[in-house]
Amino acid sequence: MSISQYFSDIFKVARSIVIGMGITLKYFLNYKKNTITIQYPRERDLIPPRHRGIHYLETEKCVMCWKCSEICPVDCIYIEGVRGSDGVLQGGYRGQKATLYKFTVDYTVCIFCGLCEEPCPPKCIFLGPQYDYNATDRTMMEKNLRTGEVYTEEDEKFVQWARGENERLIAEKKHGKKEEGK
Amino acid sequence: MPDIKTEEMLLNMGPQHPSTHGVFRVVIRTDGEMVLESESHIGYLHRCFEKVAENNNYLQVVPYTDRMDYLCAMANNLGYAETVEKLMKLQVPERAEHIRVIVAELNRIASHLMAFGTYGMDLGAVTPFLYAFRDREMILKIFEKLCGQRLNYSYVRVGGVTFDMTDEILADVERFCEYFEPAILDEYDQLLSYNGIFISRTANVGVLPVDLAVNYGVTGPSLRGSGLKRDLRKDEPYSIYDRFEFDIPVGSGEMGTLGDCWDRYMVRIREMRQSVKIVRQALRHLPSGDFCDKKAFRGVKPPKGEVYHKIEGARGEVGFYLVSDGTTKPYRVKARGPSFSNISVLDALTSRGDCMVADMVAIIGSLDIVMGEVDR
Amino acid sequence: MSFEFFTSALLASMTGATVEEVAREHGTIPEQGGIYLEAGIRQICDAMGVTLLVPGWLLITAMLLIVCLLVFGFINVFALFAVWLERKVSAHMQCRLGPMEVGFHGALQTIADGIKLTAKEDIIPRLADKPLFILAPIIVFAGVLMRFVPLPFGQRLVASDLDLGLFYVAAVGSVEVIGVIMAGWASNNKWSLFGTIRTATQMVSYEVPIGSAFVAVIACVGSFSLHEIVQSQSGWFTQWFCLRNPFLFVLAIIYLVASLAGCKRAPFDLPEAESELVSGFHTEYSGMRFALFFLAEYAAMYLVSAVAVVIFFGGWWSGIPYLDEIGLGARDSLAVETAGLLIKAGVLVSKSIFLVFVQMWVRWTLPRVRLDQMMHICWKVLLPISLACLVGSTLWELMAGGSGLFGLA
Repeated sequence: MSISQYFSDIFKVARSIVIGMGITLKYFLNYKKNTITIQYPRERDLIPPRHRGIHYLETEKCVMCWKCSEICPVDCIYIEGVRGSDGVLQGGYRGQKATLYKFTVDYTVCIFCGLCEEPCPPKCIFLGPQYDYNATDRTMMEKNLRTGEVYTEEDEKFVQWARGENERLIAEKKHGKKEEGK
Repeated sequence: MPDIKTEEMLLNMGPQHPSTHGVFRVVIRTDGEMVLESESHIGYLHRCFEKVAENNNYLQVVPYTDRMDYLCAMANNLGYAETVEKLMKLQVPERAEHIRVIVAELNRIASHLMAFGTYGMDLGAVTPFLYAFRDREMILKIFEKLCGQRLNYSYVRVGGVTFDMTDEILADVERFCEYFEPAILDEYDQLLSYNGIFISRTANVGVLPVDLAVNYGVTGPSLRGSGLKRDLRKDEPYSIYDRFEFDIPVGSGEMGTLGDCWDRYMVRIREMRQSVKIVRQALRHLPSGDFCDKKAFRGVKPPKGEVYHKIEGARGEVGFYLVSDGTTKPYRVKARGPSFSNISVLDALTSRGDCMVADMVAIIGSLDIVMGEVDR
Repeated sequence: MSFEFFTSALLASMTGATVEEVAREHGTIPEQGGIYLEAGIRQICDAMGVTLLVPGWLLITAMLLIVCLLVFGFINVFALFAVWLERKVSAHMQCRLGPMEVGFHGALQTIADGIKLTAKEDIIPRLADKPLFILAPIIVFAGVLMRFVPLPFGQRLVASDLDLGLFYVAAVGSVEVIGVIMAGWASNNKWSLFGTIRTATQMVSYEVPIGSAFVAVIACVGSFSLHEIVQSQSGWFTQWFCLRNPFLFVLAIIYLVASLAGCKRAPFDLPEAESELVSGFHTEYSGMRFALFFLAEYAAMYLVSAVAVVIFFGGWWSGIPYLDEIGLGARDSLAVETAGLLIKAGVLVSKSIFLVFVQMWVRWTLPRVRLDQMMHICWKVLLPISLACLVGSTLWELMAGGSGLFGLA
């Protein structure tokens, strides 16, 4: 290696370093204009309309076709209820076309793919703008879409009661029809 | 001094390490700082994609394809959709084809930005990582407006795309292209590419000869860095790539040997420029019309048969081999992830005896692997 | 943990005490400069007629311990400030804002981090060499603290103006290397060992160009004492040694680069290469032990910048004679004299902080060099050039002689 090449190597490296440092100095001096971060959680970004976050359900419209549950690639939607106006329970659980006992999404499994939105005939399940869903326990990650709250043990008890009640009422109706038929 | 006896050390660059890109384990046998031999262990991210695909119907497989190469999800979606369309001989509307190209190229830019940023960070330069992420954020915001997600899109499906591109999103894409080239790419060159220390870390390091690369099945920018001009978008054009004009950048040994880490890195930077060119052309020629084949969206039942189709993802050749038995669920889906072949060349590169432990980090970074693709 | 602080402080002060006692015996302490608390207290006691029964060495140790704790306090405050500065500088260069929550623009963030570190669990690996593991941070911190003894913070504001100031700074700095080697070995971790071996070679190699720079400056002054070196740079800023002759200018740049390597800062941060070795030699340290390493690093940064300012960039002289003359007149009142002292101290500290900022600026721009490249830079680039500049500088002084910009004034 000749003397001139030795010095030109040093000079090239030093020059590239100085140019690089000039760029960072430029960013440093104009930091107010260049800052792209926001102070979360005080300031939040705008959520676009197609954002795929936590689900919400318009319960009166649901017809219990189970299409969203079937299309879900990871099987995280659990639906139970009665179709048609055979819905025998009163008070808030009865929709226009069906009666839901249970409509939950398990967020430890959901991959937010959005496939459940499309096959829904009355278009009543949506993926909404909420992206920060947190829980302190894994059992809290199942969300009851009927109420919009976490799916608790009382909800499970209600569902089991509703199943039993429904079977009893259907058996009664059949029995009643049989008697009439007689 | 022939009498000094040094001991060999067995180091474990374990599954959790700051610079193996993902969960990847390399066992290195070193003599001081020189690496004598390395052995890679993969499989820490295996999620049984191919088995799962046998139990889900053609639409439900799409979110799983996203998660293979999660940094370039559109390309995976595109590959799978085109494979099924090839089997069904389905023609996709023109607007959908153009949107697919725009979205795939934008995703390629995002993936290369990630590769560039993390490569700088592996070598110690933290600031370019932040700049790359600032620009990648713009692309991810566009994608969020378009389909609702920032990383796993499930946007390109069999028959077209899920949502239409509104004028607002098109304006955003145009603005991004204006902003990105040339100002930002020149800044990256000045800050990192031509930095003396960076060049001395990457030039003449990890030289990948062309025949070794071809023997191991390396594709993508890693192969093009060794001088071979092979890109599926030009050699076997899929979708509508034969209508666009763009170059294929190839490594030339500018700063050292042909096929070293600097060449591979520079191929990625130059590819970003070409991708912007493609996006601009696609924006200009975007026709109006349908964005999907509505019948195909309701359910797909390809005829019996098998097909293999490959596209150019950000890391190389993404291939899907599909066997259909006429039902709504595929009989067998095999995915070829380019990172699997790219990573297999690592042991050959490091066992030649001229690699130091610090170079291992540089080589892994320059091969740009994503473990989701390696393990599927 | 406070036990370790006390131990390091004690070690440092006892070393300083021993050096001073030896120098006193040989009669080589100059008459001016430095705070001689011992002499002052003896004078006060004689004036009041009280005889002190305490032997000399104990008094000196106590005095120096107090001064040492003062210096230690300054290091702590500076480390608080420097950590905040580093986070803010790096954030602004990276298009973000840095700490903003705690205090105004995050000014109290470091205190919060310090409290968090003290509350952390003290983990010692089961197979680690326990005595060495505990001793290593103490030795590293003591090594850095000892170098602060002859460092002036302003005119006549120095812990102990040793006659061998510069030589002492260079020599005692090697204690740090032992501490780092102990830390890496005692961790029982192959990756830490890697970091240690790299550190040992790096820190030892880069002391040679630094030594050449020191010798060139000493040749211009004729004394090792840091106080003397600054005194001979009084006047216009062209009197500063970096502008005295072109060889010294190059040596100033070489000193700044080599001192980056001595502090283990990027681009020479191989010992703590975050992306390769997780954290190098201090991977296994947690809580307050890690905080000691951290403190030592920032203290070393300040020390190295302050030494650069003192020997090359004029020390406490601001370069404008009007400002420098404040407080030096023979008939000035105590208030004016104190004001002058404070101005000079402020000038010295702000110049050092500016150099610390330059170190941070370099860290966040450049990637890391590899081990063999680092050795190449030291032995094949810095050393030949610094030796050539040393010879050139002494020749220049001999021939051109005198002071002034490039020997012209």
